[in-house]
Amino acid sequence: MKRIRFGVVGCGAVSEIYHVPAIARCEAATLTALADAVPDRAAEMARRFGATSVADHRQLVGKVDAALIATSNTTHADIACHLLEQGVHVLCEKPMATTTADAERMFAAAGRGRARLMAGHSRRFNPNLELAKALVAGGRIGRLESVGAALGSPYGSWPTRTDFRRQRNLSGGGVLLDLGIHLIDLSVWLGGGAKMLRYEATDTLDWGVENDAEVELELADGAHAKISCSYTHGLNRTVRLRGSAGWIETSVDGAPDVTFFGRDSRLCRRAGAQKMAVPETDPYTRQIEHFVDCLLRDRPFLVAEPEVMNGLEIIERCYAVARAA
Amino acid sequence: MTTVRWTTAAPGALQPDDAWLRSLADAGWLAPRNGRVVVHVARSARSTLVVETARALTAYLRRTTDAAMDVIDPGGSASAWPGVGWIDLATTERVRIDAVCLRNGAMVPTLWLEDFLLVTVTGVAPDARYGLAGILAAQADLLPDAEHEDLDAAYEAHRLLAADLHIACGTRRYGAPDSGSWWAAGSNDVTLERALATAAGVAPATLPAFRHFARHELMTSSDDISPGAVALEQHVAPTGTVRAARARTHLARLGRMVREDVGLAAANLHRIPQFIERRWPGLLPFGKGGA
Repeated sequence: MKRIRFGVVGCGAVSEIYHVPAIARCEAATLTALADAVPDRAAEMARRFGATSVADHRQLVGKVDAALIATSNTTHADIACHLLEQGVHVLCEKPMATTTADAERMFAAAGRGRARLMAGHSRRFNPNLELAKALVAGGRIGRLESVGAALGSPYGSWPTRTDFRRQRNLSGGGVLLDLGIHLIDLSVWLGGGAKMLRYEATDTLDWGVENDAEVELELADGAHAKISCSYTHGLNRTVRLRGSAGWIETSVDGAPDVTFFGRDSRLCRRAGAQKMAVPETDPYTRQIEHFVDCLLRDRPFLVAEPEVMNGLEIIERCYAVARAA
Repeated sequence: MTTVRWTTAAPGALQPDDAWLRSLADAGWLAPRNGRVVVHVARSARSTLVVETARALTAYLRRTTDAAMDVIDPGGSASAWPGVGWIDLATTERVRIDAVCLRNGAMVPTLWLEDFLLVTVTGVAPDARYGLAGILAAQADLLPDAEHEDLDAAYEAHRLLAADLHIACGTRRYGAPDSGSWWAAGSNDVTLERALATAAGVAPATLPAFRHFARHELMTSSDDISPGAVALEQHVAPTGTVRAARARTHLARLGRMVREDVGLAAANLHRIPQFIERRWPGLLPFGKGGA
């Protein structure tokens, strides 16, 4: 079986905890080389995972078929463009770019280098959200009318190696770009496209980027989405989908169940709302497996270019509204 | 209101007459939902009479409605049902639903997320697991592993998968076509099963399925809602056979649980030294707290 040689650019917490173990677990991939701005960090992780370390991303060219980029947000575009132009396929952590112009530049580079680019919207690979999507797409709750989603916890309550999220020049934005992008992407994915209606944000921690944000979106077919994200306090981390003939509630983070009620479903007509169980699997592993499978079989990615652009356009528009205010 | 409708026919008759089917339609029991009817021909106690009854039903519905018609017949084949859609549950996608009785949930066909009129047609037979196997056993067949978790699966199938109309059929004396055919129909699975048990001369409350169901919901009496019931002979397995089967099932279940628990315990044995070290540092000679 052909295996994809994988390189990793950026050895922060998300790489160490999720991406690199996921690549190591993937049977169709070989973890080949790691690069980091701190060479000792790359060397230490390479030792631990049985790979080699290189001085920077440029040295991955010729050594790997694909690379995962998990560096500070504002550096994604330049690194990705270099690799893509050299024919290295790229899976890029979210936000794939901090501006639509950068994202367009990345897709153009992929075209020139005949390489492929996917944004790492890992939430889509949670089986519970996959089931929710299938229920919506199958018309099980009728016409989608509203999406409500929240994601938030006090900053520092999850592992980080650097503090780039508090530095605008590295992060490109605040909680909206970091956590809100997940919810915007889910809204775009579930709702078939979205437009920004309202945006409100505060910088109560005085970082120069927003710490709390709320966005309202208009989805295709007139559905409405309201999403909230926070670095200052815990939010319930759920997504609620209401349709003309039912509703779905599940976790944004991945959970072993999806609560579903469909007015026109035999099951619910008989027994009411039901909790559907899904396997507890690691979304990062499934994301890598999907990415590799699409490369090997020349299949389209689950995260499509227009959806990525749609999500970034919304964020750009939100920031434009904030600047104007 | 009559909640179970009975009819009979002369020896050798394999299909109920149209008048009886019309009476079911008049009761509102055969109204298609979402323009679709699915007929489930039960695998348990399947016989020519059962298949012919389902055939008569589909023919009647085709004559009187323009609903799309599908058949689930796990004991048959698609070629036996020309002109109607064929659903193979063995290859149908399923979703795991949290279940009160089944620790790993109930694997429900995704078909049940759709809207349609479901009619179950089944035979009735003496059965060591149920005493009398009728509607409840037929429903349980829709869930995989029903054999292993029989009464739990039967309860979950009743809770989640029950049909809109249930039709049971057989011969007055079990396995004796010359004793004459009978049919009974009702919209409530438990009510119909109780009526069948009563007709077979057994107190419903003594049957394992009803005792099991009574742990989860109130069981109502059907004494006065089954007029014209036919006396059924030899449809109930001997009490000793049923008790022995229940004991075997119980032991097999205990065995499975013990095996599973031992497996889980074995997988966690390596944690014991760490636990002791955390609770009583220094107790173990090789622990960090030791000398």
